[in-house]
Amino acid sequence: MKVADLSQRDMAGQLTGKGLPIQIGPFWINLRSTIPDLLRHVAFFYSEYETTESARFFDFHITLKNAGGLRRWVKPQVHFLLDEYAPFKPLPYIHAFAMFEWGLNWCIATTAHRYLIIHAAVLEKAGRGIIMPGVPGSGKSTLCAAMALRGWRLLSDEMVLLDPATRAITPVPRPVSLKNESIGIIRDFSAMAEIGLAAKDTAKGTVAHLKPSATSIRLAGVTSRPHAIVFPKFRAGSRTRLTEKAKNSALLEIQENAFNTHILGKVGFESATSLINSCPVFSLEYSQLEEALPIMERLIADSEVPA
Amino acid sequence: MERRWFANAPDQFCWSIWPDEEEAVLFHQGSGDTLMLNPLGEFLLKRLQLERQTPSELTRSAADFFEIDANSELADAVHLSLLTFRSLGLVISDSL
Amino acid sequence: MVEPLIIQVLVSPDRITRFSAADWDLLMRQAKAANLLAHLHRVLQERGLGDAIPEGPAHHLRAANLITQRSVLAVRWEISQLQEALYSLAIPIVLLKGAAYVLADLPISRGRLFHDIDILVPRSAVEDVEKRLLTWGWRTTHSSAYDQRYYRTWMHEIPPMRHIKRQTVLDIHHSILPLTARLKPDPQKLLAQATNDGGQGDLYWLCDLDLILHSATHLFHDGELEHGLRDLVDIAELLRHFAGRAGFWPALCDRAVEMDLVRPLIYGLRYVQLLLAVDIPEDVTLWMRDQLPGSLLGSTMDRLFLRALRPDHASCGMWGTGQARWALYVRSHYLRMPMKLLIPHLVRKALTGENEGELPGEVQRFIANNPRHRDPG
Repeated sequence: MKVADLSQRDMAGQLTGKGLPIQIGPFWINLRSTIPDLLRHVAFFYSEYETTESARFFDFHITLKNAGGLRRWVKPQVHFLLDEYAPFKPLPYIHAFAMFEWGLNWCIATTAHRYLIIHAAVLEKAGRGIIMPGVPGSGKSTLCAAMALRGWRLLSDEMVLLDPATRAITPVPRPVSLKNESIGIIRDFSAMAEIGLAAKDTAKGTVAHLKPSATSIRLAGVTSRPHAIVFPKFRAGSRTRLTEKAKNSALLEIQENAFNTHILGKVGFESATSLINSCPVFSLEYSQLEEALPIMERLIADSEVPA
Repeated sequence: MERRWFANAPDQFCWSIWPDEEEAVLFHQGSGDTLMLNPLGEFLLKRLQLERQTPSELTRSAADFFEIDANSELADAVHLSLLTFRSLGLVISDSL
Repeated sequence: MVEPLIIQVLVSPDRITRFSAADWDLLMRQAKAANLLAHLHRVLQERGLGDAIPEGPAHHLRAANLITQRSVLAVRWEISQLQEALYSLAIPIVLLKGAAYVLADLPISRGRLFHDIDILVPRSAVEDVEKRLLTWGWRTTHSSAYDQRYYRTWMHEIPPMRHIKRQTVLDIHHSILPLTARLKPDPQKLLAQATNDGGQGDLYWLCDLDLILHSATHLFHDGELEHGLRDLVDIAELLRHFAGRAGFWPALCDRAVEMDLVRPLIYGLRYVQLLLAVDIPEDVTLWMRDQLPGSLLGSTMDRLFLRALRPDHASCGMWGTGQARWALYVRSHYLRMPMKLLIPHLVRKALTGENEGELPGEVQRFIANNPRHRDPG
């Protein structure tokens, strides 16, 4: 049963009551909130996700609630609670939905240690996955959003869940987080882009989300295999250029970009090494999406990419 | 008397090395750090994983290995490497 | 009263074989709130119940176990750094609590998360230790003059130090109870009995009996009861581990008398027996009754502790849990220092608390006074 199968009133009733179960990739969350922006966020972005009516085990019980006290009347704030524990300082009320997405990232990154969790976008075409690790400003999210709008299956815009033994990637498709200029770029890029409310003046500037395709959500249970790793680097005015990247520096960057290397230790390091040995690694410098996208297509078409 | 140095928990060192690349990647489980090492650094740490060594012993064996002179320049490089490794918690010195 | 699921399962792990999905959900929430996931994992595995755990909870238990394994390595490494920093001082460094369990390789260290590292050094050496650590990247966490003076005048430790790069927190003790406490355990006696298992160097840990006594003292006289169940499990596990040794119980009771720590030991024994079903021999029970006659045990303290030691989770909240923790918090302050010191201290802390809003005032003060529980980093 999907969230969309609930009436608006039932959905709101559950969110404001005992909680709305949502399956997000391999995780089940139980979400509670009375904040209207968050209700709209869930209705818009999570309608295609599975929910359930039966009692079950939840990976995360998440509540977003107004910070109480007198502050409520002056600068209203919102708390993110994992069960009863508040891992973060509260944020301005209007950032509630962004806080939910960040908070859920944090829940996954600090708990799902059955995977090596790499901070990267991952998309798939023809059964072939491309991993795009990215530091802020690398243009990873913009490229990821553009690929998702051109028919690539979105596995994640934020975290690769890699099985250390088999190297299978478990999808955890979520709204793609866009920042600042990216929001306009993606709006202009495709008339099909469904973009939610913008949260202004967050720690990361203005943030808005792109809705993933229904197919990506429907296929969340189907794992993928890495076909190539591409480190994108957006540089205004640059010529689009794909170059092979040294394995040692790729490994160093993967380690730095992984959320749980310190937990997985040797197993994580060996799995990152084997990931890098299993597929070619590139750097992609680009300034134009329309030039970068065909390169990604070519990588997929080429089954004999030099490893 | 010279101090002797050795790897901090030798079994916690994980190496990834590619034959066509000069620098090695080291992950140290205790500190949780991942580092890229030049050939001298790699040689020294691997040596200290095996046994306790004084700086002069290390300088001599590095000279043999790389087939260069055990001059003061190499001795300085060894010394500097040891200090760096020490600050990263990769090596500890003999307190006996 | 109905015991929280986590306590039921710790006492009778077999119960999980009859658990519904909703039971599992609640058990895991309580275990997580009590910081007992890794311990639960160990208990269920040791009882051969691994296969009875459904996939969802199993992932979380294994993850907690992995975090524990990693933190054992991290603690060992952090200790190596301390040793490297302090070796030329040639003073004994005695590890306490978690770090001691790791170095002594006790089973308990395999089901426990670690936050701070606690060491005990001779009081005369504290200044040298502090200076040396400053050059190794450690900085004080309490820079206000008030806090510095408060710690240095009244406390059994200097303000905690945090490493600038690694963020590890180090507590440097010169005793295990504040200087003003009514109980006066002699730190010299702790140092004298510290052990290093025949190893070399300056690194030691408290002897078995003192580990137990310190654990009980920490729980019942330190006012950190929101992790009370976690600490009680420590005491239970230490007792279970060492109790098989010939002459253990008389030695433990004698050491408690020698160290002036009879009362915390008795509380520890009483509540591990009541809540976690640890076997206490009858002659020890008699000894307990002799030492603390009549009404001191039972009624009031039981009512307070049995509430306060429940996991810090709404599902375990009974009317009075918060009040019980608060009453015991005041009590532990009272045990630590004379009334004339207690009152200004509490008031001062209340004013610096930064939380406003829904929490009852006493809980806010409690949190304000336990900064490490406020900030997960």
